[in-house]
Amino acid sequence: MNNRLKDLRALRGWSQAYLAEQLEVSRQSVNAIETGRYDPSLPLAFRIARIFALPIEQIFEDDV
Amino acid sequence: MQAICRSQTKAARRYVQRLGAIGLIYLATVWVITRYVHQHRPTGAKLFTLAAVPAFDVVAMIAVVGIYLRDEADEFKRHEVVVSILWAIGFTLALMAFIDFLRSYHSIAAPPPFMEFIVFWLTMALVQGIQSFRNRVRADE
Repeated sequence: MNNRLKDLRALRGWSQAYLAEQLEVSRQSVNAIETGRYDPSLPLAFRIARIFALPIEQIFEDDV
Repeated sequence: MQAICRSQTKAARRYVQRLGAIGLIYLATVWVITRYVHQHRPTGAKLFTLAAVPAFDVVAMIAVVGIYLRDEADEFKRHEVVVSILWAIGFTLALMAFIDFLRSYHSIAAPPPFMEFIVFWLTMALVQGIQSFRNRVRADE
């Protein structure tokens, strides 16, 4: 699954640490999601969408 | 283990403390029971009961991992631990199958007692260390 997390975070001027704090996860988690090494669960994906105030499909894209 | 030590979550700190405590209890239990069995040579039900005691510590250690997986709020950290457990189970079972095959044809002697316990936890710690290295984060952007 591809995602635009890094770009969206950069647009808002947020650090990984800040986003991790907002999501209540570790920086490693944010980094792993951004680099595509880990696909978040649906609840975490929804939390990410809520923080960015965007629909989930504008952040995560299916590989197909 | 190191990866979890560096983590700041409460669940991880409790996990390390509990696992360390039960690990020490396990070593002490094995040492005491081994000495007792060597000195008193118990047989029958008594020997079976004594042999079962260290197994409770092993169950307790697995329970500690289960409690950590339940309490850890960071799903990526949980994922790392699950991956480590799978590697540890896979490696330990594969090694045991390999050794047992050789033993069944009398090619090698029996491995030291409690070897699988040590192999399992060392493999788990090693895989966690590798994951920690692979997933390390550099200076924040």
